[in-house]
Amino acid sequence: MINIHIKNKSWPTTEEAAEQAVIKDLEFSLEKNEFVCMVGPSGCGKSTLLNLLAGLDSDYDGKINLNTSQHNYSPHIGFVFQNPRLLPWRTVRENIELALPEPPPEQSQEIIDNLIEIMGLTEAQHKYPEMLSLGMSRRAALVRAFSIQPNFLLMDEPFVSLDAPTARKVRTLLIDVWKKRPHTVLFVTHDLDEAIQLADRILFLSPSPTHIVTDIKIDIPRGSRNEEQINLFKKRLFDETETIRTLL
Amino acid sequence: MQSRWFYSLAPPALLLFSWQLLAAIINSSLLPAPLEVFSVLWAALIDGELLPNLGITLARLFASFFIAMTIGTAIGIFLGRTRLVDRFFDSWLIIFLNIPALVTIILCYVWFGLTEAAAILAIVINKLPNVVVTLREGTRSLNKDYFEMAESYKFSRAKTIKHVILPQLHPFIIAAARSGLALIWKIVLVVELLGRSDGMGYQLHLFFQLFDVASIMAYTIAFVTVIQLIELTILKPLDRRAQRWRR
Repeated sequence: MINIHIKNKSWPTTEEAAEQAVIKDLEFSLEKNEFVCMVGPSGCGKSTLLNLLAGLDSDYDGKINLNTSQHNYSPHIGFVFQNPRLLPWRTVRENIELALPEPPPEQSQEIIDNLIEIMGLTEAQHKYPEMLSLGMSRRAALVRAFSIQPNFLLMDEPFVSLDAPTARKVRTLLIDVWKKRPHTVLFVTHDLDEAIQLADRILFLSPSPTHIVTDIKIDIPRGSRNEEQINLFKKRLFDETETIRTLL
Repeated sequence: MQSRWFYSLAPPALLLFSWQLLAAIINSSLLPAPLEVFSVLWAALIDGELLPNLGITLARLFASFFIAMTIGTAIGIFLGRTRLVDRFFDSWLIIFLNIPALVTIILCYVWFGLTEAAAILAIVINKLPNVVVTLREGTRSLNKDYFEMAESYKFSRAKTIKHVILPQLHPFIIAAARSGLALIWKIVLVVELLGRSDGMGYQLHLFFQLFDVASIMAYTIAFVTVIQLIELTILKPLDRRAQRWRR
């Protein structure tokens, strides 16, 4: 169980701008192995929140409790950024292997081989990232995140600017891999259809300074989340909660 | 393929031809013909006067080159990372960049005596600000995204330096090395001329007093050849190796 309560996160005053609150009283928890999507208007502070969770930014007021068990053990965090952020001067394979902890756990090579095959990167694995298409780079970034066997996976709009068929394909792959090895996922997106297709639960965020507005469970069984079901769910959602429309 | 041969052979051939033509027209010992220069070069190689002097000059060049590159890279990275210190020392850098080489050389000899250490120091001081400025720019342009990636995947310090920082600084280091080599080998001769009793600079000074233009040109050819070889066999391959990931 992961508990998060950010009381306040703001950008300090600079020469150009006054102090600006980004996150205010944002509180939620994630069940073990739950897949949660976060939807909110652009610029509301979603990426900032993920940076806090990943430990990239410790300048905030609040509490982040990532303990996955009572043994106070800090989980492996995988992070899939909005841009793939592969090191251009290392091959795809090297990029993936670099993310492994040192010394690499046993069987990590088999795990990587397997993931590379699932994601269709076998041919491309010894190429440099600049030779790949955006879709392939995004898949490589996914393999990198999965191969460290994370207990907690953070994803920051990882499929943005992919064409629709490619995005659909990569989303299916993501769910396949997640089902095989369940772990907690926090997936940020501004695409409600995507969120309904992927999530167990959706958290809706307000504009900046952001907090959670509503928390919706997706009750369509996985496997029957086709376009029709997703549209029906959306319609019902909009009818029940007027405010959601304004948050997209 | 044919055109590549043309472009690598034709320009030097034209240079040699023009030189020969000019020498024939002027017909003076002040502009010896290519053949004469090459026979002087050959003689200097055989009687063993050229190589020791070339060797001592190259030794000074490499010593000062490595000192300047190491210290300059360290200072450059430091300034690139700490804005306040950088702002404070920026004017120093501009002053040192603009002090004429001759002034530092004379001052070093005056203050520290006509010694080897003073000679090397003078060259290093001339080169250092250049390296610092180049590496400072390189450090400022380091991409924050990659650092965040490295941090979120818990890269060790060594891993971050080797896989995230150095590859990004590489083009700047190569640029500093290239311009450094060119700058240093010009300065090293002046340093030798003013305060050393061996090396290429000293020899050229002797030839100057004798008006021995053929020897001056022969020594120049030998030196330029060595520098070209360094560029072709060390710097270019290093550069190509580090750029192979680019499209």
